[in-house]
Amino acid sequence: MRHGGVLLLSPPGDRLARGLAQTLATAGETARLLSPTVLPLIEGRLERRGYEPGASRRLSAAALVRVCAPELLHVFSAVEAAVAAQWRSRTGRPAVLSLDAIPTRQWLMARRGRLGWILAASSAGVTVAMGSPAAAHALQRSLGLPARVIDTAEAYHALYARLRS
Amino acid sequence: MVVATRDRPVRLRWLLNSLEEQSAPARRFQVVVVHDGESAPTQQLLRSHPLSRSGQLECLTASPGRTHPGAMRNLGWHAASAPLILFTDDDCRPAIDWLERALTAAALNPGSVIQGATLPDPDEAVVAETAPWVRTLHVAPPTPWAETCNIAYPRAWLERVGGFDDDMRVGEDTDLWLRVRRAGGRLVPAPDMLCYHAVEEHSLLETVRTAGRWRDLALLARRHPEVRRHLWGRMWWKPEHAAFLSALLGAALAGRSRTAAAALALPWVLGLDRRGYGAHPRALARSLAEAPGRALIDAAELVGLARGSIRYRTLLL
Repeated sequence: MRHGGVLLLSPPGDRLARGLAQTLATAGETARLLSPTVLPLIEGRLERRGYEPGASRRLSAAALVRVCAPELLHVFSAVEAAVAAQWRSRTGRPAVLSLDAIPTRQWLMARRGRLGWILAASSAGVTVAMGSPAAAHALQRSLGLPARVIDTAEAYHALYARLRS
Repeated sequence: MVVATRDRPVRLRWLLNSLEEQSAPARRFQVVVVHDGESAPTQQLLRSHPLSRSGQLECLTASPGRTHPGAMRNLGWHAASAPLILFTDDDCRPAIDWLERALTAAALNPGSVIQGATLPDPDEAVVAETAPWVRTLHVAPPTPWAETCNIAYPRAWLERVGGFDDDMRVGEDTDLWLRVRRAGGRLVPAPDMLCYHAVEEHSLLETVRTAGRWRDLALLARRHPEVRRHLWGRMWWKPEHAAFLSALLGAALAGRSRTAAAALALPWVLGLDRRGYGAHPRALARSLAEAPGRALIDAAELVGLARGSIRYRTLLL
């Protein structure tokens, strides 16, 4: 299954990831869109403990990344951000995190794990991209992290090229 | 406002953001942050924060070896020029009208120490409700401990009593207030001067490792025996500690009398639901699962306090 191209890891049904996968395919890019599965045995327990819904995806996300060994990893939620941080630290390969939220202090603290995972991704050198200037400003204000504002699949494609060069 | 900080850049950022958003006019306050100079992200934050760019934020670096909270706060208030010094901690987030309320209370009670209320941050309720090992603070003023997470001292009092004790690791805030009180000071509660305290989640290992820092509480009890009036049985920092020692005694006696052992262990077992999980079978199972961790924490705190009691020759457990 190793393919070395771009791996998009997103929660099921993420429209941005789906659109991006289509654009990349049209552009002739080797890209694979995968949605890590939740583990029903522990998902309920994690949710009861205040973690992000879908937090159990982390395990399968980590496994998928290991198996696919992508050249570039793009994740779309705080849960997968932790996996991107590990991958980037271990391999040094580029990784991108896109958040479909306004990352204010309140949002960061509304679920256990969010803050730590996003900080881990940033410390590991994962590139953070936000869909709007408001979201990028919120990230800067709440965590002091610079974020690129990227709202089209074409702009992501260009970002990949820059990160890989 | 004086803040002592040590390697908590995210929390410090949220504190500075809330100070920047205060309803009181910017010209009415100055912020002094004292840090230990060891955290690059903290230094970067202090350089780049809008309060710094507007000239309202002064940053000071404590010299090595003088990084206990009291020493850092002393450095801060000496550098400030205001007649009223507000103290808060780097893991707190004042409400938007905090400063306004503090100034009003100070104007109504000139020369008094003003103590505000501190609540666990409601934005972090999920952590408070679900994480097993958390640290936060709830202060309903007036308290005998005069916590520095939310308190205002007239500068004149700080100068008169010489500020905080530079060397105390914990309890330096209570020590300051008790010296001010001895010199004739008055503490006025201001419950609407509100601060939110972070709800910080720690691992069990971290919690156990840091439990020993409370040993200097014995120094506070030695210097100010009157604080014992506020301790459980005049010698227990927490009632759970008495219950834990009783349970240990019960365990030691288990071979001789099971009834006595069970009776001695009962108070600690009944107090296991410290987080208020409830009586649902799943909640009870969780309390039980966390019992070994609770025991470790109680034991670590007791060992720290016992060491402090020996060092300062006064019993506080």
